[in-house]
Amino acid sequence: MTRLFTLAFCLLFAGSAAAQPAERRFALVVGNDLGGEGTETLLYAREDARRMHEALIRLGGVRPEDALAVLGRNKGAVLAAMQTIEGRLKEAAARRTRTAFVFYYSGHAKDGLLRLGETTLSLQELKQRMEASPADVRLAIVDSCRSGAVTRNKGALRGPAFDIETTASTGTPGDNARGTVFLTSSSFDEDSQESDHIGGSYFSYHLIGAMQGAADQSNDGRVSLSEAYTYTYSRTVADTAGASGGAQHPTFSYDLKGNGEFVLAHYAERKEGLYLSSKAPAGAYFLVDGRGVVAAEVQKVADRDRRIAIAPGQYTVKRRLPDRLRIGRVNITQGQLYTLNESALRDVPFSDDPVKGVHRDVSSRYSFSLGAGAQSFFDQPTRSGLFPTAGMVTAEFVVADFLRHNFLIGLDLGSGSGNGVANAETVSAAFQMNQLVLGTSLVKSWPFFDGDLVPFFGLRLAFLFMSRDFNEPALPNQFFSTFSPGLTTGLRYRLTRSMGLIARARVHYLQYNVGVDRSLGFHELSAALSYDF
Amino acid sequence: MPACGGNYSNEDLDFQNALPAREDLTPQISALTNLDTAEFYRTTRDSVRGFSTLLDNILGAIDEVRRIPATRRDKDIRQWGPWQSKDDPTLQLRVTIRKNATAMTAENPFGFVFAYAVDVARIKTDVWVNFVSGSFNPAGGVRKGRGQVVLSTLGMRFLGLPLDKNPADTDDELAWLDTLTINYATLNDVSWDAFAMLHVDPADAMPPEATQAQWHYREDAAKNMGTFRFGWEGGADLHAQAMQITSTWRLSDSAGRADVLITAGLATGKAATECWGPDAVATYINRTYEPEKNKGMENTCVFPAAQ
Repeated sequence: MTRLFTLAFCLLFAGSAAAQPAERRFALVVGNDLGGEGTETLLYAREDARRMHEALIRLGGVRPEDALAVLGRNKGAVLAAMQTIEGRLKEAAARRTRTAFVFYYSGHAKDGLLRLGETTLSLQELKQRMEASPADVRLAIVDSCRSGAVTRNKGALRGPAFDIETTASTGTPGDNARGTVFLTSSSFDEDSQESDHIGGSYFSYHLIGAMQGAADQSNDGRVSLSEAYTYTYSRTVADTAGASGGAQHPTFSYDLKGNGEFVLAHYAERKEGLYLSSKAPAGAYFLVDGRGVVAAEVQKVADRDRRIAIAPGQYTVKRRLPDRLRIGRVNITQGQLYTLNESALRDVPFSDDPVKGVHRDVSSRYSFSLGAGAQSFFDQPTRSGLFPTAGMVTAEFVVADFLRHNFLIGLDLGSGSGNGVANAETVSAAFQMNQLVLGTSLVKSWPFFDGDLVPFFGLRLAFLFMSRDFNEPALPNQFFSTFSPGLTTGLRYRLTRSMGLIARARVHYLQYNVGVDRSLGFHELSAALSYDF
Repeated sequence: MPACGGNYSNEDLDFQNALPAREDLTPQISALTNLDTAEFYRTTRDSVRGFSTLLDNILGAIDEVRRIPATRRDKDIRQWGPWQSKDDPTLQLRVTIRKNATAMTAENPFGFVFAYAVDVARIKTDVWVNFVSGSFNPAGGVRKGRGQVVLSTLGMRFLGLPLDKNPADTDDELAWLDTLTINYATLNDVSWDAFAMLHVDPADAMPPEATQAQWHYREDAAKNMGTFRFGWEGGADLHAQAMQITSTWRLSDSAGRADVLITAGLATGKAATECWGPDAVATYINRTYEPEKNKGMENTCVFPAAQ
């Protein structure tokens, strides 16, 4: 039944992808790992969006200047970018230029809402906005949980294999096709799943793979939308069928009128890539990048050549045989089509599988920071005569997501000194206070803008060893050690992928009991440069 | 949240300040040695060293103790110990410093004095005897003030506690001493007077070398002069049963003179004067009892005869 339905879909749309209409394409790519309250941070949504942005430019016929990427931003930024695109579409329409608008979203969705950090964008609002767009062809691709809600009509039944909704009054799209197409990663009641082995979501991974040529059933160097969907659907279902989250069924909704097929990718126009001649053995070929992640895959059938328009880079080609693997290194350079020679592959056991997957183990993220700041007691007499304001240098080691997601355990070491004058009854003596602090903290963080800005707040327990050396050597040194509980808060700003700037404030309680009992408080302000391992 | 403790305290600083610095009480005289070093320079220098060592033993122990956090801390009391003696495991020690209110006077600007005591007891007993007591009247500077230190071996003798680590060697320990009283002032110029009652053991077949001894030191920085006078009485030597030596030297280079007078015994009235230069070599010797050793002219002396 599934095959029949797929065949019918292909017959309906696939045959007429021969001509590429002269049109200008615009793209808005949105990716956000964060979904606000009650959601876990996604690992690859932003990365998927980045890759789709690159694929649309490289293969999808979108000029770089016409492809906007909104990563880790909120609803306002998305709508502003959409407004920019709409403005350009209107300008193109005024020049009678045929246009297409591709909207891609990767991130959280729930209850009919795309969740952009702490903000939401209604799927219905998106749909209405797309349909109101002046583009001739509007394609919305939504890779998120329950994204099928946007294609689900009241009373519609889910298809036997995938969910197709059509509101087209005529069933024959043409060259001058106009209308809206929605492509979603899952049905209205399904989760969309990510994989460390492919370093992204199954749906986006296979859709990009389709654009690279894996979906080109007609072998004409172009990937029509129907070819892309059919391929993406079958591969996503196959990959997720055995997953704990259950099989994930992409959905497709179109409302196109006119003649012709919408060609999603012209992959053959790219000169570089991997070429498998018709004589190459049939089977599944995987291209594994330097991180050990499957960057592309293609199903080679016997006596038919295949081509995959993968980006320049070094890859390991893997072909799986029943009892071993065949692997070899290929170097794809700009503008060059690399023909795979079977003799260049060698046999290795399964244990040498080059696919390692992305190791983003949330329980093992570490960072180290170095900083400087000042410590000061709130009580003025204490500050001037007992514990003077001290300059501090600090180092901190942090383990993130060890106990729970977005919880950080920190171990810090600080050292500092300050000068003061002790006024006892019989003597007044200048001194230098030296301090060594060992602290541990448990902190909750709230990443914003995909972790670019991360406020945090938590508890800290510090052990302080303070000593003072009097300028007058006839007076002996004094020392004091104690545990001190406190609160810590601050903001981390990501400078680069692994570097960040931290502004931190701490407030501590200190019970002083040498001779007299006093409850004291102090604060620390510091700035630090952090490095994420 | 209990604190782990320490002695980081402005109040403790008063107690830590309530003891004269040993360096302040130590006479400044250089340690020169030549083949023909002047005899009374050598006598002066060795006496200064001996007394400084005695002061180190007394004050040094308290000085070290007050560096560590007090065991007991009340409003006007700091107490360290008791703890077991490292030298003699059968003994336990404790050090107490009290702040006692007194009338506020020009010499006592703060209206209180510090009294300190080092007490000794046999281990696991509660019978304490005093070993060192004293007072410190702060004058407002860093460890500057007036006070008294009294060392007494009488209590320890009463309890039968050992005074020497090595009873066979009585030179370096306290068995020869009954009491030592030191009155000191470490203000602009340092001065102190010490008086010792030496121990006389009736069981000894030989009479003691002396029964009492005195030390006096005055430092006058403006005059670049230090004066050290020491003497003893009750000696067994029939010719010199009591003797007084007064040494005066320049603080800058230790050139000085010594005037010796026998005040009791068959040689009463005999005297000697000796002057030395910065190299500690005698420039002038005048001994009434050994005129054959006389040499030089008195005008080579850097100071006139002591008054």
